[in-house]
Amino acid sequence: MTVPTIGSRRPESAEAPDRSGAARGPRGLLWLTLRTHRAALWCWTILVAALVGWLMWLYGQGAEADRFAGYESCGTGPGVPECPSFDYMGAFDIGAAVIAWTPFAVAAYAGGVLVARDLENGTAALSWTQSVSPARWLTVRLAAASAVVLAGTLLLTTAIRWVWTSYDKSLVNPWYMSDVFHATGVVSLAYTVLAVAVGALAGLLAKRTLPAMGLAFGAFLPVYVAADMYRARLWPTTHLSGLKASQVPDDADQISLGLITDDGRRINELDCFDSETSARLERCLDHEGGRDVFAQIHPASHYWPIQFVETGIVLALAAVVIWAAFRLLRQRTAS
Amino acid sequence: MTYEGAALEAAGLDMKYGRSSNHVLRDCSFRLPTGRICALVGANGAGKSTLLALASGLLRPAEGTIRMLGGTPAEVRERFAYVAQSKPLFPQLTVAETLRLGAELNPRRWDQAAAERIAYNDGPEPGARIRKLSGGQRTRVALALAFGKRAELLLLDEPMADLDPLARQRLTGALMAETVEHGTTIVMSSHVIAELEGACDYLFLLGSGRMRLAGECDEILAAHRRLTGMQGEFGQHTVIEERGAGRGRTALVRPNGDTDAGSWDVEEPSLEEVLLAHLRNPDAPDLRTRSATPAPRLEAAV
Repeated sequence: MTVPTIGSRRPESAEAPDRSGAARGPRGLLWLTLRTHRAALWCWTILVAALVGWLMWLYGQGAEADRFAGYESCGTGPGVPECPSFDYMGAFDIGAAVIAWTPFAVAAYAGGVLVARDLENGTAALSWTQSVSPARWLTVRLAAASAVVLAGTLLLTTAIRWVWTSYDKSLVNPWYMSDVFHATGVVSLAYTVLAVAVGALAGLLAKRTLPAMGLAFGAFLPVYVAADMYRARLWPTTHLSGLKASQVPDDADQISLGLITDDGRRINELDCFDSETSARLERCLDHEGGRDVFAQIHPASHYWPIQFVETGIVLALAAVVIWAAFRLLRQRTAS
Repeated sequence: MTYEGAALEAAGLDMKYGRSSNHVLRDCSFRLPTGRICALVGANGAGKSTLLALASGLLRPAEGTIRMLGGTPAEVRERFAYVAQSKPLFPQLTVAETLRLGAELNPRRWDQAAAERIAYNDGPEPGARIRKLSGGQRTRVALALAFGKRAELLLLDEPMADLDPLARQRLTGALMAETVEHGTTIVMSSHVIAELEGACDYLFLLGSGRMRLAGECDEILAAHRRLTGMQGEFGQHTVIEERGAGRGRTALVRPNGDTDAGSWDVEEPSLEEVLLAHLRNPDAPDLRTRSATPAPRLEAAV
């Protein structure tokens, strides 16, 4: 039998410069993952670089804003400085918000583009019928995405912390504000990991790009809402009474403040707060008919304990979600 | 007869999508010996793609077992290649990068020269992006990945659909060469029967969720005869299809005993005739040759 040949090998041009043997850098599935998400990698790098650059610029503006920290007002009158031309606090809030909400974009990307698009186009099946198991496909994808977004988030959080801690605290929103809390601590890293995990599970469930993006975004939202609702309960509050309660520190998260009446009821009555001395507090209490004032607060020192507890919870949640994603993948394919 | 050397072997396969009660495959059993070029034919929606996806481990059967090259699809992942009907490729990669994908994801088996022969012959430039390629060029790049993998079993879902006649002929030649030189087993699905005739020496006809015909093309042909005669009775033979022919009757039958006994003209039908007769008559009994029958242990295991 004569076997028809299918033509001779094309010379020169087929010997592409990136032929496997000579290639450097990442190999195998990691190469493929990075290569096929090159555009996203660039976008993320540019976004992070731009934000870090902007925060550095904001740091410069902060030096000016800091000069006004001690003043009640600005503008007119003797001994009062001219008003700053720049809304430093507003700008910082925008930066914190962008960083705090970045995981939503990560979740949508991980769900839609990283996982669902590959399933939808059949390119996932293309990988699985090379010498790559579905489990390894998902592992490499999750690991590569996590590494890249974690590195960026670490830079962003470091940069905004640097701005946040450099000047007078009165210039920026306090630590317990949701965006600030999300942007400035280790929780930002935990939420990034959770975002990738939620995205992967959403992508496997939806199997199509746009629904997966919506599902990932929608599934991530309740996590943020719940975290804001229950954050104050993650660490025992500090209970103050007497003069200490009346002089609640400015940077404390006030859970509840009020007056204990003579018959022992706690009422929301703040007239005796900001008393400067014990004597004044006593006089005020006599006048108001109260026994004492109380303050249930999270002092600023609770920032890190709450950060760590929340980080732990979020990482545990991420682990459960990743387990579910691998389980689903196993059930569906004969891997 | 030995049961070793099966490229693909399935017993009691059952598959349905979602909650629908409509089974794509139902108690489907078959066996494909190694070194064959097998045509997988059937009507649209007969489950050809599902069967190939099950064989390549992309889907998990609801019931039944499927084994290839002596293992489960996952165990022998490196040793078979699969080209899906949609010819999925990464649109943002170039042809050269797509071949690098093959090298990167099959580090122990990749044959760059084999892949390049398929991809570049009169085909796209290495630097061309996949998204810019025509359907036929895409198909060739997808096939190049399968050839580069140096697979022992090629599962090709509608490989010819987008190819022009010349490219079909070349692909047929390349597939036959592959089998002759390396003993590769090939399964390719199609609903165009003509494009497979000549290239294939083995046949699976899928219908009603099971293998209606399975076996060597020549054995299947030998099992059928076209009888034409004046009276409407075709004796003890199993009639697949019968219709009027001029003033007489003609029938495609599976002879039981001597066909010369009656007063008929006896002809050997073409493969296409046999297939069409079976497609038109879903109630015709199944036919599975000895080599297409799975090992008893496999069927017993279900």
